[in-house]
Amino acid sequence: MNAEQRDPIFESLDQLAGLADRDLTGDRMPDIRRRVRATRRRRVAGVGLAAAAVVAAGLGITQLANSSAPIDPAKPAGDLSQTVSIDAVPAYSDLIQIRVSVEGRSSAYTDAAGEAAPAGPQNYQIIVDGQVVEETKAADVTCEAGGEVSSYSVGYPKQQRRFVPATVPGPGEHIVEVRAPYCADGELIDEPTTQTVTTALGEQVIRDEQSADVGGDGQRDTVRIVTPAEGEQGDWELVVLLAGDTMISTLLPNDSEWSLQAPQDLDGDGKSEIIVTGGGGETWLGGVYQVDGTTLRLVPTLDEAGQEEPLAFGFSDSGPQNVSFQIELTDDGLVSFRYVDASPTRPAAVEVRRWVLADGTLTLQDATEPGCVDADFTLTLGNC
Amino acid sequence: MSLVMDMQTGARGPGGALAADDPLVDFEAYVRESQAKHKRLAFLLTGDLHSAEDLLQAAYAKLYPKWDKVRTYDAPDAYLRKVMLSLRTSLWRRHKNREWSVGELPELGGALDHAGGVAQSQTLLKALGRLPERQRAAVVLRHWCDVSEAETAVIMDCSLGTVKSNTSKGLAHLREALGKAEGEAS
Repeated sequence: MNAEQRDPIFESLDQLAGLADRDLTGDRMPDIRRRVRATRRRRVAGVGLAAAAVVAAGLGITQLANSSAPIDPAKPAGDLSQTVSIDAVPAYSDLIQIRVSVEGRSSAYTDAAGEAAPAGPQNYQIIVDGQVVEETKAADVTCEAGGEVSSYSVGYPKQQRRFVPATVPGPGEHIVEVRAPYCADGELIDEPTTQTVTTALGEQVIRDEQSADVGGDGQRDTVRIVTPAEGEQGDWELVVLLAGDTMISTLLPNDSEWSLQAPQDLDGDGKSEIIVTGGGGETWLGGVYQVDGTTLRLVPTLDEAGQEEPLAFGFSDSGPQNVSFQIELTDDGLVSFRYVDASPTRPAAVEVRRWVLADGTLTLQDATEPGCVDADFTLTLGNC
Repeated sequence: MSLVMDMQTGARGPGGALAADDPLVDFEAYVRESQAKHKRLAFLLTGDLHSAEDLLQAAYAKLYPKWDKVRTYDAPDAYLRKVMLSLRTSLWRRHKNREWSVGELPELGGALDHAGGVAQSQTLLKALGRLPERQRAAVVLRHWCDVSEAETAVIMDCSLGTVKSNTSKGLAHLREALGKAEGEAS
């Protein structure tokens, strides 16, 4: 767009924007540096508090996260040791996010057939507040002298952090213990490693929560919308706790306050879709998400001609109300509706169009049908 | 979306050589060179000089630790605009009253050359303040920053359709307000 083509609105905005020129700060850098330092101090303070809590607990912590020394392959065969690193941080007031890594150099186990089994822990347990929340019992092995020495580095869980419930729900101090016994030339070394985690309200605020099978495994999953605590910077986030242990999440678009509709299986594939609605000022928005493996997928929304069509947009309390569509989840599925009259009085007639989910895409149907919004803003299909 | 890729990973081409090898020197130069236009954007987004100054400084402070990477982008300005929008949104979300300054315009000096300009800017400022956040951002980005619809969608973290609808509605509100004020004046 060049100057000749510019809309008069540009000229007006430019004239208004020019008023900001008179107040330009001379040297911005000192204030910028001060803000950066302040941000860093806040982060360091948070880490320091967490570390202080660990020390105060007086527990025999052998390693903290990311503090493992690299394995020296040149070490003599007799120098066998293992380091367990627990990276456990609070997630909400009732969940702990845990990742465990194990590095070491030890001798091989012997399996039931008398053959050498790999070195390193063959079984492990994650224990929270004395209760086993996760464990593997992979093999029937024995620790015998003379096994081949080798180095290893493994992580639990393999791919991602694991969320485990605090055994006593709610904010408080919890002890995470990991046991991963290894074989040291005939001696089974089973030294637990522990870390204290303090969960607290206010780390993230749960704005909305629903429960449904969104993962498709027949188990109920927890769907949440969370935000950082009041006063903290951050985005609204859609979080799914799959069957209570694996968490996946995605940031929701900016500029809206979001809430959850009851998840509903819109395409009959056995997995419920997650429906979020948001309002930014007077603008209403909506989105449908599907769990796709370990990611959340925003379902594309198209009209019947295949063009992108917002699920809902632009509802204004103060403007004419027969312009834009809102969405509503009904017993018959997801629909859009708009008022027939510009200034409706309820019960008010609305025009309803259906969204059909197929092949991972929501398509808005051209056909309309009558609906009615009653005094409680409840939509029913059919005439008023 | 390819724009995201361009904005975040595209290195500057031969014509966009970095200003200095030292990132700190380069950042200071960038701040000096870009502050005027970004201060204007901040003012249109907040409607208040003090809030605009705070928003801009906060955005620069977010950018500073990442400058070594961001300065290799094709469009560091686009990144900063996204940061400003994000900060503004966060601020807006956390203030329940979501006030917008609709006070008198700042001391004008010679900035506006006639009384009509003052009245028009006052009207526009109030009309901007009445817009929902997304409509205001869409209008300012599209019709003042001259940013494409696709890039606006990236900056606002929304779909193209949302940009279109918000721009259209926001623009209609502003035109209506300006037209009404013009009618009353004549």
